[in-house]
Formats: sequence, C-alpha cells, structure tokens
Amino acid sequence: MENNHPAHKIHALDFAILETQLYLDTHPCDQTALAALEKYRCERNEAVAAYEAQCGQYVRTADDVNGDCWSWVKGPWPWEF
Amino acid sequence: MWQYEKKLQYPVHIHQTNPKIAQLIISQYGGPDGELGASMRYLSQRYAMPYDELKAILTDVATEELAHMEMVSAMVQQLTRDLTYEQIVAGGFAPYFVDHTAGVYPVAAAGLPWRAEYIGVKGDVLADLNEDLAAEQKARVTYDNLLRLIDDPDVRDPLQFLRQREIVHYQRFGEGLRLATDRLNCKNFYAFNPSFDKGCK
Repeated sequence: MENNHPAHKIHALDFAILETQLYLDTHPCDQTALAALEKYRCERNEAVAAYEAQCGQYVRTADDVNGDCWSWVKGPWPWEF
Repeated sequence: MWQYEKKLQYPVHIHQTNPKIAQLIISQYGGPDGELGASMRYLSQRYAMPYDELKAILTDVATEELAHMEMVSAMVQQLTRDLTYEQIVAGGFAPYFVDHTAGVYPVAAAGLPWRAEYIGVKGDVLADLNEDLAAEQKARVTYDNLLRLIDDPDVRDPLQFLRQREIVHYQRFGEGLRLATDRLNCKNFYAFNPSFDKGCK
C-alpha cells in the first residue's frame, strides 16, 4: 500500500492509539495521555470518514459480504502485495 | 479472545528475493528471543500477576508481539518468493527447503525449532517481570545484530520499527516492575515478595 493511500492515515493513527494505550496501562490516570487518546480517536474517526468517501466501507463487519459472496476470504492478505 | 485485523502493524514490502537473509530473520519468529516466544511468555505470565496494571500491560504487549510475529513471517515469505534452484543452492537454503519448502516454520537462525524452554513463567511477579525486561533487551540486541548484517533498505525499515518497539516494551515493563516494588512493604529492601507468597507461609 502506498504512503498516500487513504488507509495509510488510519493505520498511522491506529499505531498512535496503540502506543497511548500501552502507556495508559502503567499510567491509568495520566490526564495528558487520556486527552491524547481522545484526540487520536477523533482523528481516526475523521480518517475513516475520508477513506469511506473515497473507497467505500472500511469496517470489516460491513465489508465482509459482497453481493452473494463472503468476500472476507478474498486477498490480498496482509503479507501479500 | 482476539479479533483479527487484515493488515500488518507496519508495512512490509520487500522486492528482492534473498533466502540467505530470510534464514537470519526467521530467528525473530522462532528463535530464542523471537516474537513467538515473547507472545507466549507474556500471555502465560498474566495469571500470576497481582495487579491490574500488570495484567493489562502483559496482555497488550503479548498481543502486539503476535502482530510482530506476523510481520517477521511476512518478511520471510517475501524474501523466499519465486525461489529459483540457483537461489536455493547459492543462498544456503537447501537444508531448510528440504524440510519446509518455502513454508514459514518457527526456527532459530541456526536451524533449531522453537522450544518452550526459551520462555520463563515462574508465577512470581518480580521474577517474571525481570525475565521480561531481559527478554526485551535480548530481542533488541537480536534486531541490532540483524541490522549489522543486512543492507537491503526494504528489509531494514521494518526491522528498525521492530527494534524500536522492544525499547518501548522495556520501558513499560520497567514501569510495571516499579509499580510492583512500590507496593512491597517499605522495609523490604531486597525486593522479594513474601506478601504475594500466600501459599507458603
């Protein structure tokens, strides 16, 4: 996937969210980290909306059936490019 | 339970087939300090942890290690794509090829299959967290060694990402150890944990 693909921003924000979550595991009441998590989650929602405007449904549960087929089985899988 | 997302945590796009490098990198899948062992170690240690923060950090780091395992496997797969006979022989890949073809099997760089002896689960918060701190440093050194041996920028980029994650995990486990020692009796200078050893009084 190229860097300018709209999913790239979602993946980057997913990473920022994961990193903040790990920090919160050992600092569960850190208000700065909680605020950062909230900010990243809002930005992720916006990134998903931008993705869907351009590429269609992002969420797996809404995207795994296409017509009369279970499209979840269709590649590319993550290790394929 | 776990939910699968159809993506890698960090992209892996390797263009050049290179079975020699694949045999080195596979150690971070099935080697002594690899991602498979890391995930199994942290998942298994959770049950003896006395504090919620420690259960959380072990769960979340173990989950991330599964994602790293998938990245390392993807690197091995892409480095062994479309192998020719000449590449198998010249890359020293023939012994692996005989047993596994181009499948991805958890072995160390020297060929030893993954073993549960690589991980420790002592059922003691201090013993286990110290094991985890050492494990993250050993994994970081292994990535350093791979980066000393590998030039291909397609391969170095995800390796550098993975190396950074070991450092972050070490930091979080260090905080976990601090949380645990802070809750020991203040006269407990030597950081052993009689208060957790309820069955042995």
